[in-house]
Amino acid sequence: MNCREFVEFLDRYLEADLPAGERSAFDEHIAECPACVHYLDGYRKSMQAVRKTLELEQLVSAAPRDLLAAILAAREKKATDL
Amino acid sequence: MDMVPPSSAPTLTDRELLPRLRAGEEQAFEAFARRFCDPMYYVARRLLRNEEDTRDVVQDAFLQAFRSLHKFEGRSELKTWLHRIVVNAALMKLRGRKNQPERSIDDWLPRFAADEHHLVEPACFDSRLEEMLQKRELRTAVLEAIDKLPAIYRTVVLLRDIEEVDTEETARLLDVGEGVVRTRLHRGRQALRTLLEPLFREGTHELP
Repeated sequence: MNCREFVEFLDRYLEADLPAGERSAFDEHIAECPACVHYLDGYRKSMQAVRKTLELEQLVSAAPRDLLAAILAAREKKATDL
Repeated sequence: MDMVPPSSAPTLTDRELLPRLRAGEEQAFEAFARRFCDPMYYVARRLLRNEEDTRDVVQDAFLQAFRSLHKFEGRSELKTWLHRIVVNAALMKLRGRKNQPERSIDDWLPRFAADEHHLVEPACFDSRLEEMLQKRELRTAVLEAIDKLPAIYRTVVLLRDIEEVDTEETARLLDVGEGVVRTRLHRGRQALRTLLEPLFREGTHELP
């Protein structure tokens, strides 16, 4: 397995979606290629960064306080429109 | 617009709420909206990134939910059912948007030399990235990176990795094949890795 192949099919390796023979090709490549070890680590950490960012952004930015009232008002309006 | 004062009523479980919703009890609708308004706002906002569209979509989704409650069979949780309605409504809104000029994702995919090695050595990411993300500027930079992705890739990354919609459901919502979903997800993540590397490369940030 070369680096291009490793990167191309990395998602399947991470989902554990490979037959044992193919999986061991990835494991062997990881054992001998520090560049791909770094690539894989960065790929995982990027996903982690995106999740953490969105999680923290939700904590610091409140939903609009009038949204609930707007939803209930819209429901009332629909009911009276009928 | 008036705000609704906080409710002093205890939170009802799905089992308690559902028959009351089906019976058309006004207090049940308010309890339902109160419980899910904020979480659904965040779901829509992650996908739409625009305040006005987010508010429209959340309101429409709740109205749709109110109308469809009689069809809800209770095989999933109320929150899961509502989540699908909100995601669907957000995707429809996205489809209706005029296409912004976008760079090709190829610009951010990894490149390889003739011998199939990485053209540029991938850097190590700092293991303290969660701590680093306490800084607002860094989170803003991550959000900007997500926004740089062409919409078809960004949507799949958000649906699969953030909203945790499975491949089959994502394919159905986007009206594409599962193979397309997998490819777009992987390319989206690869592009994010490229965009985020300068931010998280080891040695980039000093921490106290």
